Amino acid sequence: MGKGDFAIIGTGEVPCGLYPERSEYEIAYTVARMAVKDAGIDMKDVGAVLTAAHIMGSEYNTEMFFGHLPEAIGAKNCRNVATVVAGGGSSFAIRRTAEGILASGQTDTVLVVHAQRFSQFSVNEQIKYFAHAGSNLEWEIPYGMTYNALAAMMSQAYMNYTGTTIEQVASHVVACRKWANLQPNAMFYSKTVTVEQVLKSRMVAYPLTALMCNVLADGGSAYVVTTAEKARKVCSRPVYLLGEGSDYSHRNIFNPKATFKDMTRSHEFYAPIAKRAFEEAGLGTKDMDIFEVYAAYPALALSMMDALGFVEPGKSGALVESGETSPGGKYPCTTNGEALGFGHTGTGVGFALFVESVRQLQGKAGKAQVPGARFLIENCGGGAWMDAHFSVLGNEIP
Amino acid sequence: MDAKELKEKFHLSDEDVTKPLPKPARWSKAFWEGAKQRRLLLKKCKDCGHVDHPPYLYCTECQSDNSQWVEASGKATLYAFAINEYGVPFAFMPDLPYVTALVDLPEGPRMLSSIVECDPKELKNGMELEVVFEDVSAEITLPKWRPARKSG
Repeated sequence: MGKGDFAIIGTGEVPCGLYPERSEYEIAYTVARMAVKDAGIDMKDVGAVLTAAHIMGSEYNTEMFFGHLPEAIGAKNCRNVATVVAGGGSSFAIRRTAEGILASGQTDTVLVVHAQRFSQFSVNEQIKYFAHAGSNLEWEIPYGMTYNALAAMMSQAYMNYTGTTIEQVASHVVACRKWANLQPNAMFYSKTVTVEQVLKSRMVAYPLTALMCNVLADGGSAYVVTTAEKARKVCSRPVYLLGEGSDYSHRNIFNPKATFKDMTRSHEFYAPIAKRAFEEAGLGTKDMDIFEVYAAYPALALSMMDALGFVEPGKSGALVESGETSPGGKYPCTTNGEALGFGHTGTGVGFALFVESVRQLQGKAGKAQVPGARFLIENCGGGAWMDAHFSVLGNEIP
Repeated sequence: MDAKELKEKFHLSDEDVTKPLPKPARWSKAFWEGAKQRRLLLKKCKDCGHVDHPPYLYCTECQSDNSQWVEASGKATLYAFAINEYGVPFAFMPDLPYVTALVDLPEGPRMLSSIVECDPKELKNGMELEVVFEDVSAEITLPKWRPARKSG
């Protein structure tokens, strides 16, 4: 598996939001057909179907584990079927699996599908789940931990030790919304927001207000990944996987790797991972047209930007506040608005950002299109920021 | 709102309003037994000296089974905190607002805990803390932290 060996040739996506009547099956079938059609291939070309697990267990997961999808969508030549899950890092884990299947030579076409429907669960079930999901049952949950509290502590540390202001943190929410306002599939497509509104919204876990926290939503997306050779035959604008880097830090937020222990220096954990992706691609920060940052919470997105080389560590807040990461800015970041603007679909946030990355490089991003985008870096990670994955993509091989 | 009012208002079960407690594992039992006796214990490897928190089955540094429980000083500094005000599980709603925090022990580990006996407005990163023990059931005592009181 080397630089540019594999490429994405088509994507599919359904609107993100609360659609309790739209089942995960319907989402999966819909995005699968869209992606295959967009790729310009036949469903019978698909040799492997990978699905991401629904993060909050549902009957859909069990069905997928038992091979439901290839039969239902007519992937009659499917030879490999599997569910891959690594929390919020699933988007990367599943892509690595797809690359492995392609490298095996058993097939040259893999379909990747994500579908999520949170609205089948009550608010209490969701709160309970997301307390447990991010935190440890023995060491954290008895203290009343929640995912928001987890992010709030990390945000509080980041702000305190870097001098980042709460207005700057709120600015990233606004920037994400501005991007989402250009994305018809985004949960917040038609809802604008100001820094003042973000700061005045209800306090959830100081320093985080409600608008700095995520809203769980239903959604899904799919894409087709193939060999570069086939991609060039069937697609006029394939998007190549050029470089990838990964690292794992911890399960429990209180037990991170040394490089992730000090929130002023979290870029020292992230930067080497991004560097590996850059090096494999033979590219650097200055070559990137877009930075697709996924951190789910605004202060943590700033800590991620600190690692990417276009801003001095600790100064991302000021850059975001200046508007340079918003539409029309010098450093377009997170062009679908991510969890804060597009909506939080569990394992799907990374999928949505990846699919958006592909659209940008195929020139199919509509109103959010960054003109002439050739290369970008995107990331995902899971758990209590347990891991981090950076990928460099391009519509040409440098 | 107390547990009884929450149950009536939101049609909840007893389980919904009951705080979850740690279920000690075979290798963490000593920590919880220590807490019950007002002792903050840490699992230290006798071979490589590494202190593991949380404790696991064997040393996460060298995989040795050869460990001992050592008593911590009961002092710590505040690394970061969150003041929880909304959107917590029902069982914790009667406690709102409450503080969850990351505290750094001089012995090495960082712990997730609560800061108590303190106006949240007084919290400052780096402030000195001391451990207190809160009995939450007949079996379980949770170590929590409060601002250090100047001795003497």
